[in-house]
Amino acid sequence: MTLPPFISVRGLEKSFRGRPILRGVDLEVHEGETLVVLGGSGEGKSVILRHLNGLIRPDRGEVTVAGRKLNDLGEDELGEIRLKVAMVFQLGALFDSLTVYENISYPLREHMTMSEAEMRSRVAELLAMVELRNTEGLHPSELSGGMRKRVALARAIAIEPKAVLYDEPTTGLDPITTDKISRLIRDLQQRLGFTSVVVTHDLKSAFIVGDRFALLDQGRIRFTGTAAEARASSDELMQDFLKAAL
Amino acid sequence: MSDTLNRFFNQLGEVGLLTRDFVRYLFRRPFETRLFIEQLDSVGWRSLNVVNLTAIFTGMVLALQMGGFLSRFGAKIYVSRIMGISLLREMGPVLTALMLGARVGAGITAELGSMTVTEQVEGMRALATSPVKKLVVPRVLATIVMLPVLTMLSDAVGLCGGLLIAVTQLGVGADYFYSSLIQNVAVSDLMSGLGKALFFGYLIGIIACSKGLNATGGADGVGRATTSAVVAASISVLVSDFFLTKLFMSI
Repeated sequence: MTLPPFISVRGLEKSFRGRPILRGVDLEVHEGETLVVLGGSGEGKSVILRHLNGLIRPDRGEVTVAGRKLNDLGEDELGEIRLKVAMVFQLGALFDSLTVYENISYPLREHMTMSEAEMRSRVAELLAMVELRNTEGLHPSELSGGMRKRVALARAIAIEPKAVLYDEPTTGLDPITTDKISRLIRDLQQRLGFTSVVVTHDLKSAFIVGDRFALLDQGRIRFTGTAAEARASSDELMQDFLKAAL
Repeated sequence: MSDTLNRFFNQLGEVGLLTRDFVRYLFRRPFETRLFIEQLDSVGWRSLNVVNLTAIFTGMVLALQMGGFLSRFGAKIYVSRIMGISLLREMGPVLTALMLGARVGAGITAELGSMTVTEQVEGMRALATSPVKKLVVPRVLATIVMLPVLTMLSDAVGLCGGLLIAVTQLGVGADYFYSSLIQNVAVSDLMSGLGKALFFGYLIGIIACSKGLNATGGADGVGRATTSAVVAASISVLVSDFFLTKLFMSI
């Protein structure tokens, strides 16, 4: 018997100011896998991602996460979903008035019962996981782009979510840091076993982190498949994407 | 014209919805006591200088103007009672609200606006916490609590400014200024001013938060939201003052 997908999207439609962005997106993400949503800038990849934890509500269609349909949930019930589905934002979305320690301990303080000593050791452990030891006292403004992404990642996985959503995790990084962050995402996913959805237009990074790939074009998913299937695909746009990445 | 009306009703809707959420989260435990105290400090303590400076000069100008006018009828001894009523009922709450709207309202919108455009507010939601509970409730509650307190202080400082001018420029004795004030100014004058201040505090806080949370774009968007928050808060204070005055006069 096959398990139902952890995340399922059916006929998702969304418009902003009368301009349709998503025109019927269908997607499935199975437990423990990493799905990469590819597509050009402005195609609505981030819009899909924000539907998966209820930050945006669909105009039409269904989004189901961990067996619960998000469409009808209130903000409090969506909070329960967001404890299971964490998100890493494009620019990190770190609270700039708080230190690295305070940023990472924020979800622990809000949702877990822990002593300050336990919290210190958990934050140190998370920072070690993202290879950023001894930065607890720094503020986000003192961090480089790559360091911010690592802190954002540590904060996202702090309360051990079942899935992590990544919004353009390598945008704005130099090629070496892009490679390091991509490998870190892959390594963490394999070590902790959570489900991941990554949206990116960076194909090199996509092939490092992803198990399966979905190509978004004009508001619909045009192709889904593994890396080998993507390479063997006769889809013109997929081939253009692959050529551009070489 | 229809665009302006549309925008106005949109903004009214945003403020209405935020008020609903504010009330919903206001009584929800755990209370954010530390954040509330931080905001009391930011809204109240740090506004003392600007409020006091405005109040003392307003009181002095009021005494000079009224003293000059009343002297013509040999009635300058009434300066304290007229000042008392106009300061306590109108000028104290309105001027304090306008100063707070400019200083605190602009600060709140700029802070929340930059958090919004850098995805920090969305980040808060993604971490299963409520921006209304964490950001809006402490700020709006602080403006509601601190505006009446600052108004009382501003009333007292304004009267001191008036007393200074009455004694040094108008030749009215300090004891007469004081006894005339006490005899003619009722508790209801003070209370109607404080009632207004309470409402102005809510208006300034909720408008500033709403503008900040709905800021779009980058630094430019935050700038526009901040300007618009100060203008909207000032106009709302002045317009609602008229209706509150009518209301308090009819009670």
